[in-house]
Amino acid sequence: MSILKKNGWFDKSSGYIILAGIIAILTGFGISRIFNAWGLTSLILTGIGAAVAIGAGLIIAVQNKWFSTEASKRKALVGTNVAMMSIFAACIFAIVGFLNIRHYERFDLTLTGKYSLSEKTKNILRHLDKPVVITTLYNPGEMFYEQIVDILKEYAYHSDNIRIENIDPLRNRTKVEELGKRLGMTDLQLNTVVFECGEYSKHVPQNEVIERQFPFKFKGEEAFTEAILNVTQEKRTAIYFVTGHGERSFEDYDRGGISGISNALKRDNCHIAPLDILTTRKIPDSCDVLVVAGPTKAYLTEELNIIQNYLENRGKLLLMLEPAAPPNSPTGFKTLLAEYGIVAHDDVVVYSKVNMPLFGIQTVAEIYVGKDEYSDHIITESLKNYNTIFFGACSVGAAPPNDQMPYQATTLMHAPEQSWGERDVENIRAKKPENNSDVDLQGPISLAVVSQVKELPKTVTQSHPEFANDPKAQPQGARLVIFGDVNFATNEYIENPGNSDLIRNSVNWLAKKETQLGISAKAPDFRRATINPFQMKVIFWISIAGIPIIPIVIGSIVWWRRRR
Amino acid sequence: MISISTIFQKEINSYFLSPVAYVIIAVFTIFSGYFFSIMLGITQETTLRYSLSYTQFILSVLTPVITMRLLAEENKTGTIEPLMTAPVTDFEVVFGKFLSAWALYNVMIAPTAFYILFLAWVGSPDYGAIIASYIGLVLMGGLFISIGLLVSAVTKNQIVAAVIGIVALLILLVIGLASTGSEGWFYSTMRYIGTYDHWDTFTKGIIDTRDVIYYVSFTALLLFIVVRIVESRRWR
Repeated sequence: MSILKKNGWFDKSSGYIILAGIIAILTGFGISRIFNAWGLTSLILTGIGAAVAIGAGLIIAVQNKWFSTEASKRKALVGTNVAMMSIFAACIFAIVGFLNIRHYERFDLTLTGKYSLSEKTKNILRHLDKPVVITTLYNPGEMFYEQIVDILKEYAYHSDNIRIENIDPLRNRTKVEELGKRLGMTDLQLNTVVFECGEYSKHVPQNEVIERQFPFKFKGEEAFTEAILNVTQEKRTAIYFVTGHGERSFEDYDRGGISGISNALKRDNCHIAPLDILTTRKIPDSCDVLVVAGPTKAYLTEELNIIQNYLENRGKLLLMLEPAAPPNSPTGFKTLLAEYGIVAHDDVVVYSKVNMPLFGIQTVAEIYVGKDEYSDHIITESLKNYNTIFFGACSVGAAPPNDQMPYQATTLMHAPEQSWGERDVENIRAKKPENNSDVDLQGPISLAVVSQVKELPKTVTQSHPEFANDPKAQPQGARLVIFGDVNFATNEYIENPGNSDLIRNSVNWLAKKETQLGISAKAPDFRRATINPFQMKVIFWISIAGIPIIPIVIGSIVWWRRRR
Repeated sequence: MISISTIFQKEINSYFLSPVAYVIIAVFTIFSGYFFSIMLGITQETTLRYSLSYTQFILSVLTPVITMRLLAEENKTGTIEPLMTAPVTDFEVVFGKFLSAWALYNVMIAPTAFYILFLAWVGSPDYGAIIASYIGLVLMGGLFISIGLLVSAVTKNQIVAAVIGIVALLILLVIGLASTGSEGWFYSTMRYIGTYDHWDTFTKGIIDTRDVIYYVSFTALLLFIVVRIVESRRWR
């Protein structure tokens, strides 16, 4: 018990002993946070640290007779009272904080309501009943990073089911890899926001959040709300790619393959699978969209019948024709397409304005579809600021509208003016094509068509009332998107922003996932300063010298007067 | 109320009749002016948001200098004893001193209003966001002053009070920053206790009741503890 008496070495080192105890407590706590659990090491360290600190404190108290005299007893009592009162107040603070985090209001004071979400988004978030994890994979130095993070915070504010994690991919590779593993993806894109809900996920790349063309538009709310809707849907869109007729493969990573587009569709929460119709003898019931990507060989009648049956039963078809296919080896789709008001021509679209020194295939090759060539349709609505590039397409037109027809076929886009459909395909590589108005198809040349089965027109149902009541006679809501080219969807051209979006929009329209949110893109409220060098100099010097001089002068006067 | 006003007046006079307040204001305006003009030049945006994030750091260093002498000096010189026997309550003493330091703090940040003129000169600033930022600045000042006051109450040495106050404020700033982006109850608690997140919301132009209540309740808690500490001296 000599330690309890006044002891030289203990008096000298008691402070260090208590400090060592505190360090041990903090280390133990720190280790527990690093491993996110209280393990044996952290418990032992914290326990020993606490024992040492408290023990040393008690010994000091006994040595100094803190509790033996009346004065020291009172002092200890007062100290304890202050400590207890402080702990009590801290508990109230904690309770207030706890309630505060759960019940709060936010007021956006910015002039343009920069951080206010639309009523529609708020409504969707209010009714969100599943947890959605949102991960940003942005470098903080990236343009618009703050705006993206800020608006996501608003999403979290409006729903307890939203959890946000911001990962800097350059500094936190492990987390990125973990995310990739969780999503089963090896090609996570940087500058993307990933939305996850259960097994579903959707990636929103930067170009969907910002229109980079001036004036910039921040489309964060549009894109993020749509992504939330996508991942919270019960069903993943099933897309089947038909194989067996020389179609482009979604597993082909070469320039001519379409792996790029299939990866983009996977990121859109789609399930991709190959389909050999001859083997399955039917289109799977789960099929949401059937894709035929550039067939070069003819389909059997049986196969075409299966596709037609599928279409009649509310099927959805995305057909991209192979422009290099000679007209003499038809794929067999012509007749089927005609049923839906679509006319596929045996030609190659020539764009005469391109005067390449090497004519022939170069001349007919690339067709740039700009804003003037897009028709008004939900698929092309967001593409007006982008060009799409086609490579040697054949023309695909819509039959003239007719009230008697149970479908509605419309042109999606045209080739630019001065284009024509060259029918002399056999010799197109050998000699420079010339527009022969007697033979060739004259403009405007349609490059893509959408067709949708509509309700039977009144004229039909009135003359044949049985059609109106017979479910078999009723149109089944088939949707078709037909392109006169497949190259535009290949890995070689998919980097062109318009091309990728054109396919994705088409698939989303076919799968009836078109956004009906009505949220328009907000112009980012940047409030740019226009500062000339003179203004900058004035601002700099007044800020660092002009303003500070005022208190310095006043202070000097005060000091001088007080001195006297 | 009269006692509070008397103590407030005495403290304000002691600030402004000595060069201390002017030196503090001058130092603050030099640094905040530097960061304002530099950030304006870099970002070319008519906003105070970026420069104000540096202001929090400057304030973490300067505010304890305002508060360091408030109670530490009284403890050291022994003037706390007559104050205790005077017909004023402990709360009135503490609150009077708090208000005076807070007033000096607000006078210190007032010159930054010039920056708004500069922003209006070179573009069209978002005044809503600026108003929210200033509400945040004033509330944050209350918290910083109360922390400084607490430190000043438990020590007799002004320098020690200033250093501990600076360290405490920087820790509050850092724990908020360090826990940003991490999940779990621990990090959520750290984020709530830290000042970074609360302050950031104001600078964007948003008034969030969570932040307002955080500042007000934290300030009230600290003032309550200071009053208890001052009160305890009466009984020793």
